[in-house]
Amino acid sequence: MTQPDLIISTNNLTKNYRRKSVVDKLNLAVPRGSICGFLGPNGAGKSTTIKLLLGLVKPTSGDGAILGKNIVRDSVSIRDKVGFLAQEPRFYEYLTARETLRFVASFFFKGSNSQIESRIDEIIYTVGLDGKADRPIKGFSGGERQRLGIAQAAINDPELIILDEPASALDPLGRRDMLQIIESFRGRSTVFYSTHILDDVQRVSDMVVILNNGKLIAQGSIQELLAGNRSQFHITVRGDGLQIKDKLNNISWIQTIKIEPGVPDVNNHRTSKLQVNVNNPITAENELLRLVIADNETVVTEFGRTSYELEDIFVDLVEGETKNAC
Amino acid sequence: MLARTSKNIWLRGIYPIFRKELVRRFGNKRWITSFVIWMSLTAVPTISLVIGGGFSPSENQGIGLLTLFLWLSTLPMSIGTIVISQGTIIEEKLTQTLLWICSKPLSRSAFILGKFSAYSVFIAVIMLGIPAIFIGITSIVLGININLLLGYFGSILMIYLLLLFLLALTLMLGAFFKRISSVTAISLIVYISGASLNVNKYLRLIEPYSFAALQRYAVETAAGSFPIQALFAMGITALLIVIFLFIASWQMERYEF
Repeated sequence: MTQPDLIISTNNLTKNYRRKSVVDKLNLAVPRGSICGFLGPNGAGKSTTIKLLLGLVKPTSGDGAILGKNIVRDSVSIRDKVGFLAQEPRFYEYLTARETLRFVASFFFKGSNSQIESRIDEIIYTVGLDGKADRPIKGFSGGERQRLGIAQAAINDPELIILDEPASALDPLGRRDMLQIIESFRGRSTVFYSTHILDDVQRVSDMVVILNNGKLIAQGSIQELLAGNRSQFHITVRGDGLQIKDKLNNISWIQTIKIEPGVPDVNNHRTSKLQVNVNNPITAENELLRLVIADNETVVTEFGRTSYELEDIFVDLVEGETKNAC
Repeated sequence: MLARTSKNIWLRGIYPIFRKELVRRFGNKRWITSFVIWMSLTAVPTISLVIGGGFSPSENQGIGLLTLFLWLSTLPMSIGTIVISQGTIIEEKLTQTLLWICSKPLSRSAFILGKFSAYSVFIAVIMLGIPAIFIGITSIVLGININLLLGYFGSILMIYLLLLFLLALTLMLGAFFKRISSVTAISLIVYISGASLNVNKYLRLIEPYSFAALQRYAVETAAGSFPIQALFAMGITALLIVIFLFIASWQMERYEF
């Protein structure tokens, strides 16, 4: 992917606090137009990374670019084209939602008040705050504050919207609405949002970046990540499965085979489930089942490719990285 | 099509901050409360003291009114300047609204200058301007020579410069500290120390050229004489204001969230 295709790119971006690396040689590459989930356990460095990107924190070393502009030198220009929602957004409590949006709009727009007001009305409608826009913020619920947060982040029709844990404090309905709002930006803005709710990421994102202990441990499209090099097939056979296991162990593209008891078949016979990890999934898809049923004594009751959830990938990557670090 | 604001990076965002602070001070008829407070603290006591002893219009009584106003009102206005501006930056740090507004296209210099400008307007209009005009008109009623009002106008400028000095100092301290009490204490110490420079024989040498002498010069000017050292004191105070604002901007530039 070339540099102009990337809306966010960093080069060994590092931030140390008292000699401890909070962000460590981070190389991000987020393509334009994507909805990118930024994952990591608590304390992974997600918020610090976001603050680095916005010029709210200065890097210890390394650099980065948003929309081709340097995150240190051009941070004011960058923030002109970017919308941001903080993890726990705080606004002036004495202002109403409309006054808050008017205040934020004045950072970006000048001239015709009627046009600015119509933009404010439009964004209030988009986030579903119509009817509440003229109430002081101090009476707002968490969900309403978050909607206002999205509205103020999107008021300038930004090329990039950065959201720090936008759904973490919301109830399931609020979360669903938030995801719908994020989804509504598709095609208009790139969305880069941090979260630790993996289910949300799998539902709306095109790509993910995973951070642990300040280090990048994975980035790519969801499909790439789910497929990865973890190609596993499962075969359920009648009996203990040892015979077929021995046979398959001699195949070059099979890496490991694990046997666990399966669910009894329709005649209540014992079954075993073989989990076969392969290094060539295409060959395995074509030949594995054929090899197994070629054995006359083996009865196959179930066969398939194991599907993964993002959570499995995330847990594996983070745990693997943590073990390596130890 | 909405028109985008200018691309001047250094002062980008100054207008929203300036306007927000002005609305906070003047909006929703808040200015009426402030107006009543500052008239009660400055103009009303002065007029009561001068006219309370008997209304006998004369130029002397007019001059007395002007000089007494400058003597009596400078202290509450100075302390008032520190009090109204002591929390303006720290509250934004503590409530984390600073993170929010700094995530907009706002330069840190514009943040400081926007606040400074708005408070300067509030001080010029409500705290100092209206009471000073009221006193000026009363002194004309008492029979003061119009030419003396020019001197009085110069005196008000000197007091305004003193208040701006305290405002810039308080803002600068707000950029460094996280506690309002620290800012208030240091600002008051500087103000009181300035007024006490005459106590020490060495410090007495610099007093005529410092902000601390401005009140004295203001009174002398209103009474009809303009000491030349007043120009130095004004110049040095103006320079310190610029330095304080520069340091405050520099510190805000270094501030990390």
